[in-house]
Amino acid sequence: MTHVIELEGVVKRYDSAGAPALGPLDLSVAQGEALAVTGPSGSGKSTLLNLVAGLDKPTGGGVTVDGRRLDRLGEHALARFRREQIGMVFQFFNLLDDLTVADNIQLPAQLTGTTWRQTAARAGELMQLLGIQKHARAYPGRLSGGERQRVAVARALVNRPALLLADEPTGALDTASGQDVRELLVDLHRGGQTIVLVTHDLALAEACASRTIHLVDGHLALDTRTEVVG
Amino acid sequence: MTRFGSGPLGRVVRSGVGRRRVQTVVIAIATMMAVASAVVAGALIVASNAPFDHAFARQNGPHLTAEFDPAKTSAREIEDTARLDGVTASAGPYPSTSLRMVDARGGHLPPTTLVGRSGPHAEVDDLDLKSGRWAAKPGEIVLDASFSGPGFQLGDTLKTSDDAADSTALTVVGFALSAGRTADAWATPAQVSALASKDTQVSSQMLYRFESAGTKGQIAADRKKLAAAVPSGALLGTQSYLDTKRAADRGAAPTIPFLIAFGVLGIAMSVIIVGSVVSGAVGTGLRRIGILKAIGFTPREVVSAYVAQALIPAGVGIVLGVVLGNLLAAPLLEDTEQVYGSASLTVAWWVDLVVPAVALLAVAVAALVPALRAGRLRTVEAIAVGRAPRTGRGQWAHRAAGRLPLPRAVTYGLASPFAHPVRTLAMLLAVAFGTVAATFAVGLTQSLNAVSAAQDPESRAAVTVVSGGAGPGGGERRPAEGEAQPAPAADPARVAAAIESQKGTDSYYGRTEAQVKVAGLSGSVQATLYQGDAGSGRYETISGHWIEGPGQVVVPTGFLERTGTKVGDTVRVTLDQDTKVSAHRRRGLRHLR
Ligand SMILES: Nc1ncnc2c1ncn2[C@@H]1O[C@H](COP(=O)(O)OP(=O)(O)OP(=O)(O)O)[C@@H](O)[C@H]1O
Ligand SMILES: [Mg+2]
Repeated sequence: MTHVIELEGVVKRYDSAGAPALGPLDLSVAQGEALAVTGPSGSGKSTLLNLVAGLDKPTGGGVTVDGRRLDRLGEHALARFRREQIGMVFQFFNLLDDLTVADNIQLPAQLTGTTWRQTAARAGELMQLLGIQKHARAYPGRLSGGERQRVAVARALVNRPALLLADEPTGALDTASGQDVRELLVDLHRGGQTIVLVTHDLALAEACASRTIHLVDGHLALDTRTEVVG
Repeated sequence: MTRFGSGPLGRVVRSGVGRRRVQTVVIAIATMMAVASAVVAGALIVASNAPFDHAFARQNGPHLTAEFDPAKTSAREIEDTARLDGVTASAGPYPSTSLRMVDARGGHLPPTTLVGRSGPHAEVDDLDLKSGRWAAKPGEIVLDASFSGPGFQLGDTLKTSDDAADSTALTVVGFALSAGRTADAWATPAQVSALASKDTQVSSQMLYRFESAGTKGQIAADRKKLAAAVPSGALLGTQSYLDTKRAADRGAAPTIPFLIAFGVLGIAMSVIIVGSVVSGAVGTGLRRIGILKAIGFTPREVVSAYVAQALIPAGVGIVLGVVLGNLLAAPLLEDTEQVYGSASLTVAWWVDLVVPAVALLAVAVAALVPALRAGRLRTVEAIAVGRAPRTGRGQWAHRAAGRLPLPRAVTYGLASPFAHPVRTLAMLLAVAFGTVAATFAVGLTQSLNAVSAAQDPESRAAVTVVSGGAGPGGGERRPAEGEAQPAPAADPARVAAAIESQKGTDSYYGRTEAQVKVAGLSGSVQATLYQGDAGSGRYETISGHWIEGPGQVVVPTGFLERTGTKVGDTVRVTLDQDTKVSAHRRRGLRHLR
């Protein structure tokens, strides 16, 4: 079984004094797994996600994603790695307000040098899939929270990333919109997408993760495998 | 960068430019104003720095003006000198003579070099016809542009001598400018040759440009070659452009330091504005930068995007600024032209290239500094809502302001500028520079006008009357050769009475030039003598005051040095009778408002 994520003795400290925000932590995530990361506020969930995304560097230990040692890559290489291998979804969407929905979705694909035609086709396909094609020319500011999050998911998937990372994707959404996103994640997991999902929402974790880890004060407190219920 | 145009960078840049209108417009206007002022300043610097060089180069002026004696050498031999080693261009030979012409009122002109040319254009000494046309037939004359004024106008008639029988009438048909000052007046070659007589010798003028003519020594060597090429004694005289240049450059360009400051201020202002606007864009766009990095923009791409976001409106501003600068420079260059009497001026082509290039570079650098900050920004912090990088900036100011007995909203506002000291300082500097530049622009125009007016008090007079013969105090008498009788001397008292009887005369003064002797100085000194209300003929004084009555004199600074006197001292000046006068220093042109 190939591992998409391999963490070995990973430690992250934000200040030299006191306990680390995360770790030491060992963790492997297999291809096609949907991992939910739960835990109380401040337990280090986002910290873990950022390390895996290559947005931040560990204070110690090794972070290997898709066969690459992220802790040893420079800023430039990390950016290239991110654009090709990682799709990210955030609690507050983080769309570019001054680009249209279609442009937001296409931007990461264009960064990788994909042709305009292919990019447009892929974006169209995703918008169709996520039911946002009628908003293609709109600016994100006009959209509801649930619609925005679907745009964010489309943007995260446009490059068919090896890894989809989501940090509280339903945190800012009402119940109905949250339900939409949940179904979306379940579908993606069924399609074989490797996912790491950070959430407070145990129901969400239960619904769409094949495995759940629980962090407390930066330490792994629980690691359970579950059967996905549709 | 292939991904720039329709690619992601281009898209991000365009959205950054298009959807942030205030920022875009501010950058465009700031660079436009800066470039316009720098172009104006640059053009004026070039124009006033080397008015001679400028005009001389444009007219392909002669390095050496030579006069040959046609009696001692053939036209053929003179023409052959054009093919001498080291001669790169030449013009002529032209018939040339020296005359003392008489104007319609009987006044004598100083000795005038009259050259016969069939047109103003030539390979060397390509004249600028400032007004009128070129002499087409005998009886017509083109005067040097410095003559143009109330004294000499198109259509006036000059006589070649006082002697009615022997005199030729020449009608002024144009005014032309020769940067190399090869002549004071021009007529057709046939007309000049026809003037040849016992008293008026006609020589042949040749104009040369040489390969090497940068120094006195090189010019001397060139002259030697010319002299050797013709029979001994055939080369009557030469005039080097270096001497003409020295005379022309004297007293020019007192405004240059101001102009340089003006241009630098403009560019500095735009650098500050662009820097702080981009810095503001980075500061308010932290989340945007974080997003760009999260989806895979490399730091370099983020930097490019933010620099380009400034460069696009700056580029537009620069183009508009060049256009505006050229428009604004035109009237100012005209002022400069009046002050320095140089040929008609346009903005030097390289100013239009160098200023935009420098401005573009300056804007790029100004934008680069905050853009680099954006590139280095830590993504996690930028993107995490509610966890924007907080550096504890200005905490002390907030604490200090909080203690003031004022409403909290007010104290918060008071402390805010201290949280961004660099940005606040930049804005203050921009405002200060803007004010200075505006003051400067106004002051500069006024200064140039003041210089122009100070140089020519006569231009302040509503009416200028030139009378023949002696002026007050028995001015210079210039009896022409073979003159039957001297021009009748106007009686100053009767002139004064005639002017006073004119209705509506507010004030008047008379002035004349005379050679006077000053005790302790060898040779004579050119003096201007006034009669009547001399106050309105006033030159600006550096120290002391203008003449208020008899027994007073205003002198140039150099006079004080030569005589070892200071303002308030008494010098002895001899004219017809002894006159005791006190000296006052005259203000030069260096002193600008
Ligand atoms: N950039 C940072 N600088 C300093 N401390 C940080 C930074 N980011 C996180 N921390 C600290 O590290 C610890 C873990 O933070 P993290 O954001 O990973 O928690 P979390 O589990 O995601 O919390 P939440 O559920 O509230 O999002 C916290 O104590 C937090 O204060
Ligand atoms: Mg978190």
